[in-house]
Amino acid sequence: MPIAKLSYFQIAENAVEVRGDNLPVEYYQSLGRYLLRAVDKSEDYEYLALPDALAFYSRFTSLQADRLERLASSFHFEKPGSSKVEDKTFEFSVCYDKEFAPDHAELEERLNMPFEKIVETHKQGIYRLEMYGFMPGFAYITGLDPSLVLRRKTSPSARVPANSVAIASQYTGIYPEESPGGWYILGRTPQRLFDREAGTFTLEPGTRVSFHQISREEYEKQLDE
Amino acid sequence: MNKILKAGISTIQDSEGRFGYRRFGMPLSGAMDRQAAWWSNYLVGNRPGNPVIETSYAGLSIEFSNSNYIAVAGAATEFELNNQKVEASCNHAVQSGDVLRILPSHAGTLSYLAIRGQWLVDQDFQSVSTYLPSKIGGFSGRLLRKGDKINIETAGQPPALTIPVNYKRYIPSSCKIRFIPGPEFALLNSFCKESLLQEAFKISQDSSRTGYKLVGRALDCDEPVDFTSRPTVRGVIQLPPGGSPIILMADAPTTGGYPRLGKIVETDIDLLAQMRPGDSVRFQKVTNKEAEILFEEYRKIYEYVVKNV
Repeated sequence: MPIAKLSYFQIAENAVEVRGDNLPVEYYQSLGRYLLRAVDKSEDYEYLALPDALAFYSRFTSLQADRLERLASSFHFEKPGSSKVEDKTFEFSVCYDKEFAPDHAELEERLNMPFEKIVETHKQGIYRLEMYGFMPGFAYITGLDPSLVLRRKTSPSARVPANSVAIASQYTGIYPEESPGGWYILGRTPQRLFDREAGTFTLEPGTRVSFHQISREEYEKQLDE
Repeated sequence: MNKILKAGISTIQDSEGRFGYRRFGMPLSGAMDRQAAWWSNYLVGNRPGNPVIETSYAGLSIEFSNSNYIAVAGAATEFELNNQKVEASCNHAVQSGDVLRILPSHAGTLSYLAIRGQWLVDQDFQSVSTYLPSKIGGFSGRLLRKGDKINIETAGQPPALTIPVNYKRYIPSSCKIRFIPGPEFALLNSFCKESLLQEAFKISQDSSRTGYKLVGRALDCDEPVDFTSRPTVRGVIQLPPGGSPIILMADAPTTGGYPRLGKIVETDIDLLAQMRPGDSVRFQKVTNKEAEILFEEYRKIYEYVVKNV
């Protein structure tokens, strides 16, 4: 693809925002990874890729926009799925039992289809973890079928259980822990989204994701593992 | 083990916070007033990024379990050791059974207690800093409580140090905070820009480690309608609908859906953290170049502390 025209903005003494026109989120994710490799000490830098921008931060040294622009000038974007970029799929197990889907009735009403069809449609999708936000480990997963798109609740639920799988606008979200939330809950996953002791998150932004339906018994079994 | 007798509002923090996890939605957290955390550690010969107890106002009381050295910096200019007032300008030797108490201060909101040695506190995602909303870090991710015990490996006698006069900072009840314009500052109309720079704002009661809300004349600005999430950091001045700016602080979310008017320079964020509800602030716009110079001066404080411990 042609060299993208990017604009650079100083958002802090040690942080710069990079923004292009009509670029895919994969562009910013890839640029972020590239810049981490391009700097001297990658452990003193980090990035955050959003659907329409990249933020690049240094730990505690001045980071000026013009320097970042120079570093980025040699970046060449390779789309995921091309031979050079690995694209494994992470499979989430999801139990869509009605007990784990407190919003099933409201979903049926708003989407005008039976919950079973909602589940069928949801679990067949091919998705991508676009970004994390709102709280640590809350994953925004794109790729939702247009028939399942709906606006978030006007009054959020006070208590969304941890590991709930929920939808709103074009996203599927997974709540890493109990919190208030305005998304429609349709299931629960036994998988952990982060490992506190190891200090790691299960999935990097940009990972391809799928949802695999499991039974209640299977859910309980995986929870114990 | 050093024991909390009374917790007040206290958490364990380090000065840097939790770097490297922003793309997972993890705020940086860490000390609200970083230079105060550095100085408290400096006074006991600890590295500047060593864990400290950050405490709000008065109330923290702790009983020490063995011979060691402690120091307090930030709002408190004096504190109580075994019911006697002592100066906060140097370190103090403590013995097993000695009790420290943080007293109400004349100015400021946050004090930092440093205890010499290695704190045997678990890290969460490579930092001890507490992030209360997700119960991460510190003491089981929560506020400290009466009865909590903190184990610290002692490290011998530190040098007798005091904060250099040129680095001593006095906390006023009104201040000017300098900022670099944000990406959305240009979207403001000129009336709105002028209001931001001329009005005095008061710190609202509705302030926390996430952000300080300001009250004053509402900034009546035309805002972009469809505003997507943008990267945010501590010090960012947000303008929500309603016109009362919010300044994001240590627990700043990684992204935000409000226009970013600007970003407060690092050293002024530390000072702002010490402002009390009702205190007044005024904004002063600086250039990126000026902010860069101020940042280098700020880094020199850190480097001074590193060099002298």
